[in-house]
Amino acid sequence: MIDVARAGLGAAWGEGSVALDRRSFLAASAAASSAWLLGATGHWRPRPGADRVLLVVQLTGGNDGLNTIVPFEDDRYHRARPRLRIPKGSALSLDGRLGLHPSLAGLRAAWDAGELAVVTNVGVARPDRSHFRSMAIWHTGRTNPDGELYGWLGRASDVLGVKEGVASAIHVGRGEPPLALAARSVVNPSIDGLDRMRMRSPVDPREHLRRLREIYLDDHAGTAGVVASEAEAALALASRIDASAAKGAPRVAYPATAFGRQLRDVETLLGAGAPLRIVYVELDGFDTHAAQPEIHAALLRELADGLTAFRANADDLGWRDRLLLFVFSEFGRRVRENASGGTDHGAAAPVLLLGTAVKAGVHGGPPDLENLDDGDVSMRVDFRRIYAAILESWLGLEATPILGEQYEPFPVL
Amino acid sequence: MAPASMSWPRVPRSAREAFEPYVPGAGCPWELGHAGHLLRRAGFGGTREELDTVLALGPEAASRALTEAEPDARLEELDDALSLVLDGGDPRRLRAWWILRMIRTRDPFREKLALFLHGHFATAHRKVRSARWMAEQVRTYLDQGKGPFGATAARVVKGPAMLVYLDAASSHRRRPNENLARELFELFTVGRGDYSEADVKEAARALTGWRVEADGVRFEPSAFDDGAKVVFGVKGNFGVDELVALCVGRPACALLLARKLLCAFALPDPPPPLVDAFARILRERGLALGEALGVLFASRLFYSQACRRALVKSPVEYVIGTVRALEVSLTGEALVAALDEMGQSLFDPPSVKGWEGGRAWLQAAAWLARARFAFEATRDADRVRRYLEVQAKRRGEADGTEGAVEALLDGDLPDRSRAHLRSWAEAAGGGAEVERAIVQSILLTPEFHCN
Amino acid sequence: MVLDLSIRIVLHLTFAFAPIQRQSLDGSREAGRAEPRPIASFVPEGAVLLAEVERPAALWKDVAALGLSERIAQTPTGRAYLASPNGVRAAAGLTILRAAVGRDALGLLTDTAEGGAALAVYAPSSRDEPPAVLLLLRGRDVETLTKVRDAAAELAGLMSMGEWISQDVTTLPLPLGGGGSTSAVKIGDAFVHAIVGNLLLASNRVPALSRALGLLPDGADLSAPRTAPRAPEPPAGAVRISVDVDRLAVAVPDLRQGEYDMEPIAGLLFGGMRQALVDSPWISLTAEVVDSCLRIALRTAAAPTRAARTYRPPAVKVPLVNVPHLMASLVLHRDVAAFFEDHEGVVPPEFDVDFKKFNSVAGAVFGVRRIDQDVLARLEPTIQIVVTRPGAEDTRGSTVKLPAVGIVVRARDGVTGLGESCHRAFQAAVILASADRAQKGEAPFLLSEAIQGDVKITYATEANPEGGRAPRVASAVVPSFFATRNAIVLASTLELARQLAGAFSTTGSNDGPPGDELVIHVPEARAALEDNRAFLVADAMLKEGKTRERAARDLRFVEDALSLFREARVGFTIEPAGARFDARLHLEAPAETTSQPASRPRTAGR
Repeated sequence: MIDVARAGLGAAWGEGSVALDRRSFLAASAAASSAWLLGATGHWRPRPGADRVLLVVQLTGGNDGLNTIVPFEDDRYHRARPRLRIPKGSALSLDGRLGLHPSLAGLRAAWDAGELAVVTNVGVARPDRSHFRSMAIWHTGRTNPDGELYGWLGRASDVLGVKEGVASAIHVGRGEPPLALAARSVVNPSIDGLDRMRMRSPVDPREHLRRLREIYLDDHAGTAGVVASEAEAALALASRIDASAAKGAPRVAYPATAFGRQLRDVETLLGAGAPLRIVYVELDGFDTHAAQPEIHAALLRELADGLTAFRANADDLGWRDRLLLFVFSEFGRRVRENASGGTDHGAAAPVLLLGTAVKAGVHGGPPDLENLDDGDVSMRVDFRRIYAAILESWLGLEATPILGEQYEPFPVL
Repeated sequence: MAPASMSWPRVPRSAREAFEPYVPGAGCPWELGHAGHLLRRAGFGGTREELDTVLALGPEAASRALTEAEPDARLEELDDALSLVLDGGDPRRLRAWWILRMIRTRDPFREKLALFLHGHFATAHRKVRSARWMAEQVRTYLDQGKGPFGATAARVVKGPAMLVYLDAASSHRRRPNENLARELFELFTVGRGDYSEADVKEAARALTGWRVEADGVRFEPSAFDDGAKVVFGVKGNFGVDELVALCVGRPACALLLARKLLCAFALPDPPPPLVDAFARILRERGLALGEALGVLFASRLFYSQACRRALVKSPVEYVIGTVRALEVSLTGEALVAALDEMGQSLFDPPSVKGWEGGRAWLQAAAWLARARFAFEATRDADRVRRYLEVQAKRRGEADGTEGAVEALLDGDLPDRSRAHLRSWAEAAGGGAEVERAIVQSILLTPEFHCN
Repeated sequence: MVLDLSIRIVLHLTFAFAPIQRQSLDGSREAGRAEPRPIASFVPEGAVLLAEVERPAALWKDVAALGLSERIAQTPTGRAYLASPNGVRAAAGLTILRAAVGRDALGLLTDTAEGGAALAVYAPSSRDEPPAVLLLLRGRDVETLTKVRDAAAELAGLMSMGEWISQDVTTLPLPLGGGGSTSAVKIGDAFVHAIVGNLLLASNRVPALSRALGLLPDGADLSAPRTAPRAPEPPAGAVRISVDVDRLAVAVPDLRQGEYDMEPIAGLLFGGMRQALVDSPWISLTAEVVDSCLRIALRTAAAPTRAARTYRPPAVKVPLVNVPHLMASLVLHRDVAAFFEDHEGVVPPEFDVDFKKFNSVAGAVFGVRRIDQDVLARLEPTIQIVVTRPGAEDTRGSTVKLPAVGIVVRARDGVTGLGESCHRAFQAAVILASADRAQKGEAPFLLSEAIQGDVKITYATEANPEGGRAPRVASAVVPSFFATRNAIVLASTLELARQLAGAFSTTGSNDGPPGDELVIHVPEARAALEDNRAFLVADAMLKEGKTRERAARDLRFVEDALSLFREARVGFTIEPAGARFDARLHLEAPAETTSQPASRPRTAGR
């Protein structure tokens, strides 16, 4: 016979467990191994250093890196792209060799303020020209993503969940959350519009929320106590989101597009104090096989204007130093333009990081257009070095367990 | 009135006593709350009639009646419907099929155990991409889930859904894929710590040779590694069946199952002595899950303080429980959408680990989805009014609030909250909107989300 | 019903054109003619929708002559209803009511509404309120109205509508416009009515009734007898309906401003139609019945600018193809290139990226720089879409028999080589899709060719791979393509592609309609429902949560309703004065008379 009390568990559910109150339930749970019992309950009160948010912007379709960060001093660039090239006079010079596409003029202010970092030639060791596979590589952080069920940010959210006890990652946009957010312990949700963050009631929702809150603040025993504090936190968040959304038009207008609306929703969520550490948004349409000049210009303008509005409005909320924006695409495009006025799938490309914490500037220099890798810009910075930098320096997590292998964080943060 | 849970006994001091039958008598009450507890755990909660039946039977007979029930023949209509729409391939219909079964069945334990096994052998439609194969897998749980775990495991591992999900359908003796072997050890049977990396490699060889084609699973001898393998120190030319039998025979497998079953049906974080004791009960019954849970559902542990409303309801338990209790009719589509929003899309668990459960169900977006579902479930003002009238009449009261708290929560609500609801109802004087809001609120009390 | 009856009934829906106004109250409009006040003149202004029938009894007679009710009673659904408790009760109730007032149905209607009926709907002042509905009936006299009302109330009790009748009954004194007051009777929360002179007024909201009563003179006879015939004689039964869209837009703010949730293609094809309706200040409706055919015409008040941008009727009528088992055919006239050019004005900015993507992908597939200039601008603006019932061969082994869909477009006169370039684009698209599927571990497509007459069809089938997936409905889809003469054709099955190719080689195709037109061949559509009955019933059971019996009954209801019709035709045209929808519903000839000569008289006593 095994004596339970002797096994050291009496305090939890043997002796003295007549009425488990919330405190003793939590105390008992502290010994538990499953993640959901760990961490704080109730409102998410960010600890110093754990209050930073990463906004990932995925440019879906393969963004043309050469026409985003333009090597305008390189004649080989102009020769390879007689129709698509951005002339030297049009590119917005960053360091005398590389310049922004003119549609990215909105990012110029961030550059001048020392809040924009460009890392060039970022990619994958053995690039794959398929959208699907290349995206899976970037999402999982594995060069062989076959059978990989979790994403790099999903794994990060697993760790954050245990460390900080918060639902920490969401995708704002239509459809399924991206593989990058797939986690082992939680479903990181997709939110398209803020209706999913609202309460519905047959009576005045504010009155209903107030009455429910009184119920949640009552003394509920055991597990019901945990549910009560989570429910109270959820309803409080819903009220704050409503209040935040009701504030009216943002100071700086967003583009009147899905991407603009999603950024606005992110702003509203952050303004309401939603317990977020990782937010994922997408801008689709970068697969410019034909008629690239118009399309690419419009997309980059949408990107720059959206991010600029988001940063300005977030700044008003006091988020200036708590935001890092990371912009990437699954691959760049071929150096040589095609016959349809477009470009085909390529390899390495620049990534952008925006925020007050970045080491501003161009890192990595212009692409080497002399020594191409099968017609593509070759990779000089493994994409996981960027991930490692973000995980370690921004999210405060150990990168190696998340990325599976050790990568030297790229010194950009 | 003090909550009924105050009068529930403590957990017996020894693990063996914990699984002895709970005999109602002095200090061991047998009341409505106990019947509700059993019906919620072994099923999805009961109607007033079902509660009365359980009350009359007593713990032992009620446990047997639930765990040994015959399949409900009325569900064949739904099964036939499913077979006709499988060609359409829409996973939402598949989800609706199971949800409607759970709502309508008179044999809820079968569904509840199948739900447990679905989370245990988590397989996702988004990768398998065949509604037919996913349905076939859940059919296995429904048909033989109560029986010996080893037989269920062998059939699931050889099923097309699992072979595709864990990449075994393309595993060849020259390049065996380790995915299925690893999860078979880590998640399905023995758990971490009971096997080595070498065991995984050897097991992967035993799992080669299976091909999945349009009309089913085919064994291709030329792709199978026909050599001797050494797993857990045992040498032999193992195939799938032998490998699964080896795993299931390990003491660690019974321990893993005992722990997971206790977490799902009894209490969170069961202490090791209890897990050991329940593992022994499982082994003595050849890992027959139905029989072992039958013991649990009649045990002193089950009717102790530590189990009382100790688990967080999963979205499925919450939705099915609400629909059954209020007898509302919602479309299959609405039910599917509600569960998706709450984070439990049937046939699409987030990963091979299944749903995390517990507090992970309660993140803000998911809680608000629960609140919106409670709104939908109480949308029909006439039905809400009739429901409250029935509850009021049963207690001979003018207002139905108290009666609804009793019916939906076994009266298990702190006094202040209860008074608050009552005074709201009195102040409003019976407008349809406030009636709806009050029932919606009862569905959103913390206690209603605890099983 | 026999065909030589030569029914010609005009449900003339003439229109009080917008905005709906209450006409002046001061008696007859023309001196010397004691014409009764139009029933609509009693309706307070501000209605969002106003429907009026001047002589409902005449309308009733005309509709009764169609014999629809007899035929509905002959359908399985109708028979089942008549045999059901509700049906028996309704029939008994009607008999009781007739006995109580001593009149048949037509007489009853004459007594209660011979002076006309009007129905008005008002927008609610807040979103939580229901809209106010006001019904006016002008009957014979106050005694008759009261008698019928009392009989109906008694009947309601008899028919165990007890719940309704047992609600609180209150009497409210409400002032009349001409001084004095009347007693309105309120039953429950949502029904209030009053009888003033020969006028019965009913509403779901007291304020709406009160406002209508405020317009009435004090108990006077509200329809002076007609002393002189009106000229011209109004149609036998006249209904007037108009919808005040401007007012509706105030009540439903999303109506005009809200970005509409349409994909670009749907926006192209149908967005303009919706816009034509909601942008017009008002909408009016006309309907008539001619030879077993119900015609409904809907008109808007102003030229819809957005729709007009892409609506482009062809200079010459394009001949249409005809294929067997045609369920539906849709002809649209859209200047796709202009739409593409102008999409920012037509679809919301949300879809800007979709356009770019489409341009990019289509450009790559066609190997051109500008898809709009290089491909779309070279097409005739006529697009024909056909939907046919699939042959057994195409859907073998599946419980779902998907209809086949074909799209026919044509190159403009003088354009050459477009067919070949579309052919190459089709192959490129299949190869691209294959590559994408292969990446996701799905079966790729195989391209094959088939010859039909002098036409070469290229089609794509799902390869049957090792480790393939379970059969799905999608496998029944065989994208097929051919180009012949100036026609460019895409079909979802090879069988349909063959039929379409055959149709091009034969002469005698019909001329297309002058505007957009949707034609539904109801018997084929019914047959398609029948083909998929088991699937549809099962699908409804799971989707709606219905029992099998209920799902089967609901489907049967749809089939029975369809069995009354032979063909539905809806046309859409844009004219300078506004957009027009013209719908024609052809009734099915009754089954028992189809084999008889049309002129054979009906035998007595049948």
